[in-house]
Amino acid sequence: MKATQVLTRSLWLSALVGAAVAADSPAPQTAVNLLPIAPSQYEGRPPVSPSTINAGRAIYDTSCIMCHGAHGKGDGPVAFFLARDYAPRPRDFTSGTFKFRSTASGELPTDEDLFRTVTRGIPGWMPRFGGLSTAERWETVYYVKTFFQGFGDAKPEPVEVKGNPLPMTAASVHHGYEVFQQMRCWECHGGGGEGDGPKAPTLRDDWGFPIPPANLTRPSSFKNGHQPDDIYRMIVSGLNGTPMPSYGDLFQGHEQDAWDLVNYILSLDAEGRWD
Amino acid sequence: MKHDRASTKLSAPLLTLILALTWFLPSSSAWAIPAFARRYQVVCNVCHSREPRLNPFGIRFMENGYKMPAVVEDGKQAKYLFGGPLNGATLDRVSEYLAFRVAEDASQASLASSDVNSNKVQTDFPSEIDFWAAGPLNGNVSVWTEFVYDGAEGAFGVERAKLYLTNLLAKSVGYQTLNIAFGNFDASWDYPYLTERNDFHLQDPLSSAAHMVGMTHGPATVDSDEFEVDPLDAFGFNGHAQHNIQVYGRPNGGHFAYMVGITQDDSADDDPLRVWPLYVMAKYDLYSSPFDYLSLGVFYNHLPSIARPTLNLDTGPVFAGAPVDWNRYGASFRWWHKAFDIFGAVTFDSTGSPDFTGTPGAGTSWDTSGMGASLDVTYLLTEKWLLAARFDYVSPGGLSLLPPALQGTAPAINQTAQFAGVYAQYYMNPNIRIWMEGNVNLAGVEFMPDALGSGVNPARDQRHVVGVGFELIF
Repeated sequence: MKATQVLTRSLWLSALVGAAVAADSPAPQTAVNLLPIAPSQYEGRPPVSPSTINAGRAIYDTSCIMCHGAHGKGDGPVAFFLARDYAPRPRDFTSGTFKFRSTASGELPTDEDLFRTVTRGIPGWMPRFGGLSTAERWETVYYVKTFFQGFGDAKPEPVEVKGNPLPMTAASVHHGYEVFQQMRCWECHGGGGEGDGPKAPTLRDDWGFPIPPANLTRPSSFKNGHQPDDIYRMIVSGLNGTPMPSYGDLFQGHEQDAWDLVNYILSLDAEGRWD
Repeated sequence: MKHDRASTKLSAPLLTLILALTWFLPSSSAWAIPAFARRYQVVCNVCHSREPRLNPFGIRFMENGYKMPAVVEDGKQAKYLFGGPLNGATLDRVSEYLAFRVAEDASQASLASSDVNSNKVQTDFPSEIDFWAAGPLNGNVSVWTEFVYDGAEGAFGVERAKLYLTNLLAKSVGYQTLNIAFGNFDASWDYPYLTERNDFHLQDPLSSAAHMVGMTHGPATVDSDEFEVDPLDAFGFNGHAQHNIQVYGRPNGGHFAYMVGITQDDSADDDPLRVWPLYVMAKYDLYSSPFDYLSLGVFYNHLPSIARPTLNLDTGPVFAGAPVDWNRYGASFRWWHKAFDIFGAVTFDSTGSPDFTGTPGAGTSWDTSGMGASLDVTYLLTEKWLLAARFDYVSPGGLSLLPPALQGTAPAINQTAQFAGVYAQYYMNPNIRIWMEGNVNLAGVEFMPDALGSGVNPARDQRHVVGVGFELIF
């Protein structure tokens, strides 16, 4: 046997063994904070009671008060330094305006939405508090809700997610691009999705602070998460208090178009997550 | 040539003074650690008003062993979990534990004396390189390890090493109620009381001054200088990295904080060589008004047998009294409103009275108390510019007047001094900053009695210090 044949066969054998080992290895389980929260964390929540609300208050006073303030107005001592005269400021819980929801535009968030934000945090701005126990996070949610009386009898419901995530095919991405153009997303997010559209410099949130549109090429900076479900939710429900509107009505009956748009946004990723 | 001898004799304290006033940037400060920002994926301002100054959230984060406040278990956040129980592995995200910093500075100090080092520009490149490995390991255990290359000394070594045991007995006494830290670090690190030396490097040691002169800190006395414990020295609670054990916490994570600790220090006696000064701190944080943070605190530091009253006359005799205890207590505030961050502190020192009966020092006048105060105003002008001004007042105790025959008409030895400083910092981005500062001694020049060598009073010799520098931290 020639030396080159030996070498070639050895390489093939190595590759086969390697592939077999790789196939046998369990998929890596990472602790990336933006992965969807396990359904189990929504379960077993403690009851709403004065004691659990008080427990939430203790956590709030330790962890949240510095940004959100003693009265939940988003005016804690650290709030100013986060962005000075730009958005985002910490949420003013007393206003009843919440950006990160699964509910329709203008609605209050569900408890699960608040729980998800506490758990995941907001990339770049709010630390994740997934290190708190499940019960502690629920207790924090209960206390946060006391800042806005509108939560009292409200029973916010998540928008219905219609359709399913699509395989990221060239056709889907291309159609998503067409939707991106039709919806004029580029006006804010820019033609390349880098957040530099012609309207970007003029955008302000409901409190008058300049607010930059998301840079769609940097999914890790998506404040509401960068999983397909997260992006879909953002498109159909919008971000209350910001110039990002809800497109839920426009996609009614064309839900798969929204999923194509999700694929197009994911295809812009310059961070390599979806290569 | 008496003047020459005097100059030589005073060179040690003068050099100490120069180093104290010009080494504002190096190892005495705690710095922003981008590793934490990487781990938690947040901007630096979550924990810093501007780096390296901690904001109230950052202080809580540090107290909790570099975990989010109220979070007990967070070590797992920086780990990858691979595989199953038989072949699995847990790997740390190393970049979320490691950070480094490179700093360069140049300064020029003007002295009233004729010291050969006066008016020279001092610079080293790099002035300092820091490496950190820090963060929560698991559950209740966190570490901070800091390695420093000192450009001036050309040496590399462990600067600080601190082990945190946090949230002990949390189920019984409440979280963050009981924490223990031990290792080699600055006692005042977590709580910048009496000084922000560790939080803001401008005029580093001034407000942490040991407000006494004529004391020897350490066992040896014969060859020591009469001002070995300089009025601007930092030691005890405000000392640099020392062996420490401290218990601290916030009952149930609330607004009241306490700290009790002991730190190892040199004794003024030969035996034992070490003493364990005690320090106690309590403070209360208020967040009642929009964008406001007010922290009020009190502090007590007891240093047993830490210093020896010393009289080292230029004419020859050296006398050292018996070691005395040293007590320091004070109060401070920090008020924060939007872009303003104002810090003020007042400290009082008291020591035992020396007994010079039957010695050449008989008749020496000695003040057993001293005091100092600091006011520091910082204003964050824009996202990139920080401006600050500072005023320090030092009224040292200790050796005041020699016996009349030796004192002559010279002014009191423990002269008061006032320092004013301005500071500007420009952040090219969160990782790179450029700073510049100027400090002026507002007090007039005073000379020492002839019997002590006729040199310039150590608290008044420094005329001004100016400096510039930059740092990169990643």
